[in-house]
Amino acid sequence: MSVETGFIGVGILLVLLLLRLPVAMALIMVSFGGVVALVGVTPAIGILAGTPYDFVASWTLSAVPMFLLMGFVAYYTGMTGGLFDLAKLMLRKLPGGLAISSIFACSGFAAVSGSSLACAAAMGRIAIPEMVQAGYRPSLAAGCIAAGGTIGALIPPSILMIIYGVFAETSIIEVFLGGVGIGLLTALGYCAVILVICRFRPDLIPSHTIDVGVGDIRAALKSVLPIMVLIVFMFLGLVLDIFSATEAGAMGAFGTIVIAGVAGRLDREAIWQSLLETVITTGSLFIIGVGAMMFTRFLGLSGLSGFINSWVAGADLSYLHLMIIIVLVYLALGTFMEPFGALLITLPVFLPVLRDQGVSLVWFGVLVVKLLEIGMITPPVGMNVFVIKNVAQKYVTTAQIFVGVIPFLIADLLVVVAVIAVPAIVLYLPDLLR
Amino acid sequence: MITLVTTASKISRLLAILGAVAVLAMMGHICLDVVLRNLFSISFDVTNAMVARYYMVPLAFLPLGWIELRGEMVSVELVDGALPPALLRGSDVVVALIAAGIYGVLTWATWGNAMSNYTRGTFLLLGETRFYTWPSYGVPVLGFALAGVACLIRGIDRALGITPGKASA
Repeated sequence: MSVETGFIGVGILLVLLLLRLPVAMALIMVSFGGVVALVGVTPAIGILAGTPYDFVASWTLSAVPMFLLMGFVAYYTGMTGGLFDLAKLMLRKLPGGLAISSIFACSGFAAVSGSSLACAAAMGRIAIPEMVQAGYRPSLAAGCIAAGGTIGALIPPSILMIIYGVFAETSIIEVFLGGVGIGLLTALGYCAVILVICRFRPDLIPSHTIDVGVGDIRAALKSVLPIMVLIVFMFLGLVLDIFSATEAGAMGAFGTIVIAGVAGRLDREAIWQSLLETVITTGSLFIIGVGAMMFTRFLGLSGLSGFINSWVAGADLSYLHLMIIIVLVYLALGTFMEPFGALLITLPVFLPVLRDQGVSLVWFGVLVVKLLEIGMITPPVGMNVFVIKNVAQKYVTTAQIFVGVIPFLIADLLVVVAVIAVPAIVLYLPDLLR
Repeated sequence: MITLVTTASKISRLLAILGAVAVLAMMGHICLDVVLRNLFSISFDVTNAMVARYYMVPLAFLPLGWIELRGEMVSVELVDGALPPALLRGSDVVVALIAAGIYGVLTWATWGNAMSNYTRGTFLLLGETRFYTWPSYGVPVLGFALAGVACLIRGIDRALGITPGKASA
């Protein structure tokens, strides 16, 4: 009976989500009701009373608001604008140089921000008008930045990876290192897409030249200096063991504020907006985490995780079959769910199965983040696309951005296939650490 | 009703500002610990506990009311575009009232937990020092209670059609 309760709980959860109940509330409601049905009211109240505090009062999770603050300060002080200027001067001779530059700039921004939305918004404001002015098809320009923004959550720091690491009880620093591999592969994949489009559809990306003087390069280097200092500061701090991965968030946020202040970019409005966004994102994220923690306990009590485990073992699923199922589940959830919700709802089900199957949880964490980020650019609910629509509404419609994203989605799927076929793409760097 | 929304908005905004203060305090405390540890080999025993109990807890729970009032909780918006305005409004009301009920139960449950920790005088033993943690157990109670009130106000606000979309915050 308890396994059936587990299945009923999952079904009710999906219905409540479709009925527009916030993800956190749906998780808490189903978990409470499920635990009451399984073991009674008193244990259910015990879970409700203790879980919120126990989940949130965590030293490791403190990295989440700190990395969020770091990214928002970098965004609101405009510290990242120089990345695009420098990249476009360096890559001006390549076909599709502006688009490729925007991908490189996204990768650079990703090194100081853990959110793909911030990355897409920051680069969208700067790069799309310039690409459109240079004659790029607006849908492709917008699609390129919507996809490029996803690199923000792949290259560390990454908020999704921290949350995954906490739930999977695996090394966050190893998941971060794995993210470097998949982030760079994604960036290269997007660049390859742009080059292919330049070759076969020159009407979408016209050839265009930039006249460059020594002064331009010097100015671009100067404007990118603050962000380079920040990246080097973070890298050296971690490598020289001056601060831990958890402390890196606070040091990075502090470093960003100081560097932005020295560069004359910091004002009261930028600080206030950064704090506001940090508080809102942290609050809405952690309450989902509380719900997911309760849901994990409910599924554990119901025996559903064990049942699925036995089913997978009994069905004699190969590694490939298991991965296909997992990839399809995440791609389907990604079409309508926000990544944190999708991550926290599925981990209680998938993690025990993957542990049993001996799958590396570091590798899986990186793969899951990649799959969730694909969901950020797929219709009907593609958050990055909506952000781009917001910053480039005079150039494109939402439907046109979804069309522009298609070539980059193909590259994404090839990256997923490559990572499943060759896990070393992700695990090479984490293995070096061991 | 407008006065009620404005008052709730002011209180929840104040609590959200306290959350922002917790963010800055957490950053400052961790950075100070790192700098003193590396330059003078001085480390605060209390940093981890302080961050977890007195910065993270207010940061996570105090802004909930404000987030609810602004309608910024993460939800699945798959059917939003397909619903006619009247049905969407009805759905907003039901969702807000359910959420208010859930926050009510959470407030009650965490209140019991807070009182039990208060009675026991819960503390962590850091070396020889007692680090009292019982006051921090009251923070979720406050956060959930205000979030519940915010949801209730949002629900009534939508039912009466005072604000066209989200309640003003």
